[in-house]
Amino acid sequence: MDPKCRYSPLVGDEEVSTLKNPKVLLLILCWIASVLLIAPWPKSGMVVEEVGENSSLYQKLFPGDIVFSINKIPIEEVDLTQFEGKFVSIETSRGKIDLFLNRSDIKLRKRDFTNLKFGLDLQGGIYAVVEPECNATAEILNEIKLILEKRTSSLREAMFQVSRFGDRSFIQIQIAGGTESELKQLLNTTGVFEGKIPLHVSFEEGRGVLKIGAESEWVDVTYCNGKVCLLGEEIEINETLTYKGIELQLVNLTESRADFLAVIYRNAGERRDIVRVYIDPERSWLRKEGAYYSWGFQVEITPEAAQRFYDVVRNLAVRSTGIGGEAYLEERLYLYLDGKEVSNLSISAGLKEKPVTVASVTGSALTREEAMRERSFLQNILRSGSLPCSIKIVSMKNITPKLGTTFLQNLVMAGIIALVVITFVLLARYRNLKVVMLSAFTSISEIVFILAGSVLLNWTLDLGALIGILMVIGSGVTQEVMIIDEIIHGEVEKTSLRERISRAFSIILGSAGTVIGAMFPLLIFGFGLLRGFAITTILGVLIGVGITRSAFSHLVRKIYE
Amino acid sequence: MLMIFPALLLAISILVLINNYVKRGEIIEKDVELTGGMVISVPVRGELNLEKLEEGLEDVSVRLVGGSPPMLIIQSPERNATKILESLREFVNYDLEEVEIGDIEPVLGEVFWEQGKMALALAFTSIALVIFLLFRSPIPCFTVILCSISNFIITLAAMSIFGVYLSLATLGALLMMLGYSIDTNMLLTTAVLKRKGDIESNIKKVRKTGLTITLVGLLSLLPIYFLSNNPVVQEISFVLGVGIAAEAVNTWIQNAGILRWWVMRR
Repeated sequence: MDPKCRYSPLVGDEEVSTLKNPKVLLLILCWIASVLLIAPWPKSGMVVEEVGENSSLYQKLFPGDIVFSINKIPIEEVDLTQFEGKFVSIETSRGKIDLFLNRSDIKLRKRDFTNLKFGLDLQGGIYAVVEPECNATAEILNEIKLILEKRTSSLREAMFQVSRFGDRSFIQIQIAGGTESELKQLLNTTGVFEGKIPLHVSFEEGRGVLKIGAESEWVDVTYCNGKVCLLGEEIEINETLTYKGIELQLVNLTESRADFLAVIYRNAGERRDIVRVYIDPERSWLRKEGAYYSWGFQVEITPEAAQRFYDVVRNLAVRSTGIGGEAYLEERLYLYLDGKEVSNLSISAGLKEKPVTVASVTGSALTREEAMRERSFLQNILRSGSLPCSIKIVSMKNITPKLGTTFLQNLVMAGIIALVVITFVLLARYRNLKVVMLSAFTSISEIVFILAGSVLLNWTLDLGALIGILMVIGSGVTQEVMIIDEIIHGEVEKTSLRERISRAFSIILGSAGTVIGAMFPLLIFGFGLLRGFAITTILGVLIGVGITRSAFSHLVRKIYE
Repeated sequence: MLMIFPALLLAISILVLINNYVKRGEIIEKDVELTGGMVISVPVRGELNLEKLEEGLEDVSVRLVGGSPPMLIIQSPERNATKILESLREFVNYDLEEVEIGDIEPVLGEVFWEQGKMALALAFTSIALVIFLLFRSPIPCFTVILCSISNFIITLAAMSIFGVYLSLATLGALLMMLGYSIDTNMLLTTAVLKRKGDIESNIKKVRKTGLTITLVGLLSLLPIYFLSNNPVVQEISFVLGVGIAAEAVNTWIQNAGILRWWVMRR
C-alpha cells in the first residue's frame, strides 16, 4: 500500500529542502548536542573509588575525582605503589597535587565510557532515608545534609537529596558500597563532642576552694544543706554554672567534698572548640602496644579553649610518672561523644606550664582494623561537626551490586527487543520500510535526547528513570502511529493535510498534557524511584512533542509525497 | 449489547475490591513501602515449596515473582531480617550476597501512602482539566474520565487477583497508565467530534489506529516483563499492560457506544 496524500502546503515548510527544514535542522542539532553531552568515547584518566585513611592522598582526593597522570605519565600506564617513597606531581580534576607519596592506598577504576551517571540501584550500595528529630527549617535541613555529606564523602561516593512532605522533612542518602552498620553509626551520631576534666573541692567546716586560673581567681565554695554556694549562686547536683568561660557541672556532693566536671572543649552547634583535625601520618598514628593497638591524632583547638584547659590544669598536682619518666597530672581528660565516654587520657605535666592550642585524642582497640575504624570514625565526626539535632533512620535498604549490573544489561536487552517487536508490528501494518525505519530512528532519537538531558541536568539514571525511558518509547510509537494514519487517511478524506496533522498534534498535545499532569505530582512528592520515573517521562514527552514528533511528521509526509 | 461487557468487567472489578475491603479492611494489599515493615528479596536458584514456606514462616507474607531466577519476596511487619533469613534456610538455599533487605518505619510508609493518595487525586484532576480544555463539551469529557476511572478500577482488581501489591512503583505505574492509556480515548473522541462525515466510518477508521496503538503497547511490554528479571519492572509492566488492555475495551466498546448515542441524540 502506498497511499497518495491529498497535499496542501504548510506555510514555511515546503519551500525549503528536507535538510534545511527547521524541524529537521533542530533534530540534527539536538543529535550533535546529545552526542557531545553523552560523549560516548574512551577518556583519559581514572576515577577515584576509595582513598584509604593511611594514604598520603587522604582528604586531598575524594571518591569521584579523576586522576590524569603522575609525574606526567598517564595514570593508566602506571602502578601508583611504584611511586611510594618519592616526591610526585599528580594531575587531577582538582588540579595539580605535589606531595611526598609515603603510601598510595588508593582504589582507582577506569573512567566510564560515557558521561551518563547511573544510580546505586544499578551498581549496588545502601539507600537510607533519615528524618530530623526536631522542627527542621530549610536551613537546618541543609546543614544536616552538608554535615552528613562531609561524614560520608571521605568514605565513598554518596548522593543526598532533601524532600519535604507537608510539615515533615526527610533526607535521602545513597552510598555506593559500604555496610549498613557503618552507615548507621555515622547517621546515629549527633556528633556533640566534649572534653571534661574532674575538679574536686574538699570542705573544712563547710568551706572549700575551687582552684581555677591564677590563685587570685580561685573561688570560695561553701556547703549549704545539700547544695553548694559559689559565685553568689546556689547549685544542686547535675546543675551547672559558668566561670571564666568554663562550664562547671556539679556531679557529686557530700558534706566533706564536691566533685565538678569542667567542660574544656565542646563541638556542638555554633560552638566549635576543635577547629582542625590532623590526619597526616605524622600527627595521626596507630601503634601496636602489647596485646592491643593504640590510636591517636592531634587536633587544633581555639586559643579560648586552650586558655580554659590551662586554667583548669595549672592547679592540678603532678601525680604519676609514665613509661620513659614522663610526668602526668593527677586528673585525666575524659572525652565524650553524644554524652557517652569514648576515651580518657592522661594529661602531661608539661601542659600546666602554658596554654597550648594543640591537643591529642587517643584510644585503643583489640585489633588493628577496629583501631583504624575507631580513629577514622572520631576524626570524621570531629571534622564534620555536630548535627543541629539528632536524626532518625526511617528507612534503609541494601542493594546488591550483583543484581544491579545484570539488571541494567537485562533492561537494555528488553528495550532493544521491544523496539524490534514494535518495528515488525509497524512493518506488518504499513508495509513501508522507510516509514518504519523512521519510526525506529525517532524512538532512538528520543532515548538519546533523554539521556543527554540527564547529563545536562546532572541527573542520575536510576531504575525509575530507565523504566521511564522505556515507557516513553512506547508512547512515542503510539503517537507516531497516529501521525502516519492521519497522513495516509488523506487518500479518502476530504480534509487538507495541514488540518489532519494539526488534528493528530492536538491529540498528541492533549496526551502530553495528561501524561505531564499525571506525572507532575510525582515530580513534587516523588521519592527515589518515582522521581526518576517522573523526570524522564516528562522530559521524554517534552522532547517528543517539541522535537522528534514534529520532525517525524515532516519526514513521513516527505516519504508519502 | 456489547456495552454489557465493559460494564460487567467494571462491576466484577468493583466486587473484587469490595470483597477485599470487607475481608481485609483495604481495597488492595499494600506493600511494606506504604505500610512500614521489612521486605526481603531472595533470588531462588533451587526448589521451593511456597506453601510449606508460608506455613513455616510466621506472620510474614510471601510471594514468588517470575524471572530467571525467580525472586522470593518476603514482607513482614516485624523488622528482624536475621531471624527471617535464618528460618528461611530450612526451606530454600540462597546466597546472602544476593539478598536485598529493605526496612521502612511505619511513619515513612504512612507519609508515602498519604502522598500517593494526593498524587492520584492531583493526577485525576489535572487529566480532567486537560480533557475539558481539549473537548469543552460535558459528555465527551465524561466518557474520557469514566474510561480513566474504569481502567483504574479494573487494573486495581487485576493487581489484587494476581497478587501484585500496591507499592511506590505500582502507584507510579498507575499514574502513568492514567496518562498514557487515554491516548486511544482521545483519538476516538476527536474522531467523533472533529472529523467530518459519517460517525460510523470515522469510528471505524480510527479504531484501526487505536488497535495498532494497543497492540504496539502490549507487545512492547512483553519483552520488558519477561526479560527485565526484576520484580519492580515486572509489576510496572503488568499494571501498564492491564491498563492498556482495559483501555481498549472501555474505549472501543463503552465509550464508542456512549458517544455514538450522544451524537445521534444531538
